[in-house]
Amino acid sequence: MTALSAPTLDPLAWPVAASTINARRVQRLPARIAALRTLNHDTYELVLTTAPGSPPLDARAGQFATLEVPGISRARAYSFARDPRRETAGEYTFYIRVVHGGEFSTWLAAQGRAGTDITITGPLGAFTLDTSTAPMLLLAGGSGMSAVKALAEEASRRQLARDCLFLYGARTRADLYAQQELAEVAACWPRGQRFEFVQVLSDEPGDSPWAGARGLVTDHLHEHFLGRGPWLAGQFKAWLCGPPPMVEAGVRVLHAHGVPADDINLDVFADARSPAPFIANNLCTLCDECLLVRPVAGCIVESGGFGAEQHKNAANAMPITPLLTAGLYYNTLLIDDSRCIRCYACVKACPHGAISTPA
Amino acid sequence: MTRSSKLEVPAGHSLHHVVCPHDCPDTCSMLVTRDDASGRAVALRGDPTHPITRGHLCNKVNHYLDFVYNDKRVLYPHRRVGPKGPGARFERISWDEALDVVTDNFKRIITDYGSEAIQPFNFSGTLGQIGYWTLDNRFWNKMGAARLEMSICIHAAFWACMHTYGSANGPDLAMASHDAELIILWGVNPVSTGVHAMPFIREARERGCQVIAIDPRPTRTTGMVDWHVQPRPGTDAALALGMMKIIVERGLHDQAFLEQHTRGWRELIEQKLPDYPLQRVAQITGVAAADIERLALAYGSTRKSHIRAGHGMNRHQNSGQMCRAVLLLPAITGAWREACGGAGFGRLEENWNPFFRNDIQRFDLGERASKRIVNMVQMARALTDNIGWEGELLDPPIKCLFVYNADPANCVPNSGGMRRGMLREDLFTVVHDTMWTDSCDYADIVLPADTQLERTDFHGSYGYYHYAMNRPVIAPLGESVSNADLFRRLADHMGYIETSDNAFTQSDEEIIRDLFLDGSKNPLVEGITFEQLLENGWAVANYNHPARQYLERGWPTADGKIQIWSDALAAIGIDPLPSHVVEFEGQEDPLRARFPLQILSTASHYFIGDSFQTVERLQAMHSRPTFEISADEARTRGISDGDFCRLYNDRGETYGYALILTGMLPGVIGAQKQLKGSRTAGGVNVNALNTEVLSDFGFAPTFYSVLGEIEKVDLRQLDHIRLAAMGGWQGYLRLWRANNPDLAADEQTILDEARTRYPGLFVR
Repeated sequence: MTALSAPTLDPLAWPVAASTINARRVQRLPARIAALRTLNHDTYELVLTTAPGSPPLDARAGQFATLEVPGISRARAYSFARDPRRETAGEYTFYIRVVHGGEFSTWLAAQGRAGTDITITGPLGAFTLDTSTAPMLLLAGGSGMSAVKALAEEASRRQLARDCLFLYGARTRADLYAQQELAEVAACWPRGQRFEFVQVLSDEPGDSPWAGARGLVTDHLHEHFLGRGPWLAGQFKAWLCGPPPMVEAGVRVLHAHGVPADDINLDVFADARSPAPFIANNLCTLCDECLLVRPVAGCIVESGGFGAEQHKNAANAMPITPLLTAGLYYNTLLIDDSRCIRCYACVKACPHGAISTPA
Repeated sequence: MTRSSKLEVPAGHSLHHVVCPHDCPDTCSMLVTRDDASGRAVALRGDPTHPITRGHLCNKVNHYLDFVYNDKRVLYPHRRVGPKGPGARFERISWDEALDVVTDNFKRIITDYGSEAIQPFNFSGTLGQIGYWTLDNRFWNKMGAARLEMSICIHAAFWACMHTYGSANGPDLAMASHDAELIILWGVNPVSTGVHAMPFIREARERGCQVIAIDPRPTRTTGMVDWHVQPRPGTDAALALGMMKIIVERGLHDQAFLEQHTRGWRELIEQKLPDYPLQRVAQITGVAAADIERLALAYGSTRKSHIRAGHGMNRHQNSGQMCRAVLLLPAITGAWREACGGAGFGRLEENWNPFFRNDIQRFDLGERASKRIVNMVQMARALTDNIGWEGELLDPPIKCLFVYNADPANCVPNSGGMRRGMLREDLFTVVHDTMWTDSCDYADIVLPADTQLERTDFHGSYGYYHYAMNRPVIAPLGESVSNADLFRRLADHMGYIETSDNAFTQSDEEIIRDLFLDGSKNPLVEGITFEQLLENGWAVANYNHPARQYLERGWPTADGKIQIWSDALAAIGIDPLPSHVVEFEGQEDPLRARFPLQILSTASHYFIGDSFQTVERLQAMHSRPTFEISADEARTRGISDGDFCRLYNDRGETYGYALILTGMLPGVIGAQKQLKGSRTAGGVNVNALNTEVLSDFGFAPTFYSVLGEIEKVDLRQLDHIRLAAMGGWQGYLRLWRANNPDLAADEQTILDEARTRYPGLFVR
């Protein structure tokens, strides 16, 4: 028993809410920038390492993490760029495209960031391989390369008996990267199955030596693949990741060919314009499942329920009824619109159907 | 150590099956990720393949790793130095020394007083069949120690089931949820005490099933159902009998079922039901006549009805009769004919009875069956006044209290008396626990217990039909040992091993494989193999066994019929027909003139029994004891929401904060059971107000048959209350010195410092 300097007469001064939850399914870990190198004119490869002994993020290929650095207002979400099982333990690789005016990528692109501390939270997202043996159509653009390449790497590592077509759209040759890794994926693809990696350039000057495909990647998909060979509606699965216009065009093309919505997996880059989820307190059992998948600190707010003050910033707060909230278990969960990164992990985690996205 | 392949885990990590060991009907399967290099468990989640767990856990067990890796854990054997009681100090000793001290005291007490003077005290710290009652019972049986009536939980309901159905268990709630048209949650709050029922209930509602909650308190569960019926506490038998009367009068009963499958139906209808006309039932229960009628018609209009009753009804002085009346409802409507139909408190008897047999418990090792038995509910008076169950003098008195799987300083009724008894200087007390509980303060020796991540065990579920096996994931922390290994070590030190056949040399694995999974002795485990449990972690029970086809083969009673009339009850002086009996210290007790509030001390959402109060997050979520009270009752006493209050009766008092709650009935207080006394101002929890009176039958505690009064207390008195709980300024001095053995401060210096910290308090 711990020795006290004097016996305390304040037994009711119980500790405030715990800051550490070891059992989190989504881990929130301190990390450090171990390596930062350029992949092309506007994309960096960022390698983070967590401290020795840290719990693993336990990600699957296609999932993402959020990265936070001091002084940057919001956490940013980035997909794991490698099949997590192929990473060295405690290492996590991301591809970060420098976006003009982008707070985080501009920060990263500044000099001397190697060795900087960074907070990583993950894994998040459900953009993962399915369990079927249907052929895989992978469609990516920009830094959507990372998640989709990781999917291809996982399929290759697991030697899945599936054909795979990977279409990557970019503007010019200068935008291309990761060819070496994909060559390795192709080399290791299971015998007897096809793996094809096609790069499609939309703005490559006509006089360049580029001998590959030209035009919009989605047009290329439409003209050269859909409806042919294994790429018949209902017989393959698709994964699309990249800039919203490309993903939207890809979905249109697939729908036009009658591909069922269930066969299309999307990793849309969500933003603050998407609606934040909403917690219905008359269904919430306070089981904490959602709290264990929080992507950033404070996106789900626990309210003591005794004052309205705490609820000011929380999005979509239901009116607090004493019967269901404060009066009973002294605790209510609310989603803070200003901190929510729209990962919807809580919606998926809730076993009681209490968290939903407003239509 | 077994590895699971249910999920992929990162390189350097492995995945393991673990069973939640806590006292809950769900018995969840969990998947724990271990970092193989450090040997530490790093992640935990519900098994997504388990039919009940379905990939999610409750708010308690979601933080189980904080429970395992917790700085309040007892990691080494300790010996008390200095006086017993709150603030007691301990020093670390070796296991050998601890076992020597314990067994030397056993031998001394056996020589001087006989083995009956040694009293084990244990309950549901783990529900693993090995840790709960296998090796320990073998040890006590060999020794011939006093027996313990382990009735603190749900014995009234258990015996009501036995006297009525002879140990038949109906479908579980998950099965029933698929086709029931009506589910009644009767005196149960699954949101807080079995949350895995809730998705099944929600799915049933989405399918169109009506869900009704019957509970005197508003709870989070009652806010999630179609209709909340709120009888006054202790009146459920009247409500059930009133429902039966309406059902029979409207011809909604199943006459053919009654004639074929029940005994005593004619007596019930002719002699008993006429006593329960609608107006009288409305008066007793406080439920409006129209609502009683609506409830009866809802229940009588379908056979696809499922009643899941809970512990609430089981904690009254008239519990046995209340439980029986509710259990008989499906016999009236013939609901037992339906796959989903029936009524039950979970599968109590089936989950425990098959393991209470000689090859497991080894009654044959000694003469313990002839030794005295003390009811754990009455342990306080047994220790303080040497009074036994029947009022007899305990001679010899209890000289050794051996506590494991329990925290009696908080968990028994009359907890103030219990603490006084545990202070007895001539009592040798051993506590084996995972955490430094309040009971440790009274121990001579404290021994470190492990957690579920560190041991092997086998679990049934008392709510659902599955079994599960637990295997260690990490090495025991510190020098902690499982219950089974503790008793193996004690047997070794007592010299029992050679003379006890294989009772103490049998391994946990052998016990599971050869005894627990013996299908010839328990049809529910027939077909389940050890290898299957190793591979999958859990298995579904063989609930379709022919012995369980009651409709075809009859109920397991003497005449194969449901006992509406019970000769066994008549023989012990209880009304053989179900009836409403006015409880002591209930709604009709004249004592209400002085103590007008009936106190229902129910389970906290944040703890399981006494456990999890050391988990920082859960402590913070339930940061102080609260007294739920209606606005009217509060107003007449000048109490506002959040006021610091004293709850008291002639037996004791406890302190907490008023919480004005919409929907609370007048004349009722809601409090939380088993909060640590050391966390309350007066040093004891609400159990200090409770009696050691037993229920009408079943020897169960009557935690809810207690009247009290509440008053607002000036917060400025808080320090005085706390100081009094410590034993005044002498107690403060003693604690200060005990906590600071190296500081040679004189009395004046200490008191001067205390006067600065607590002005006006330390006046001699």
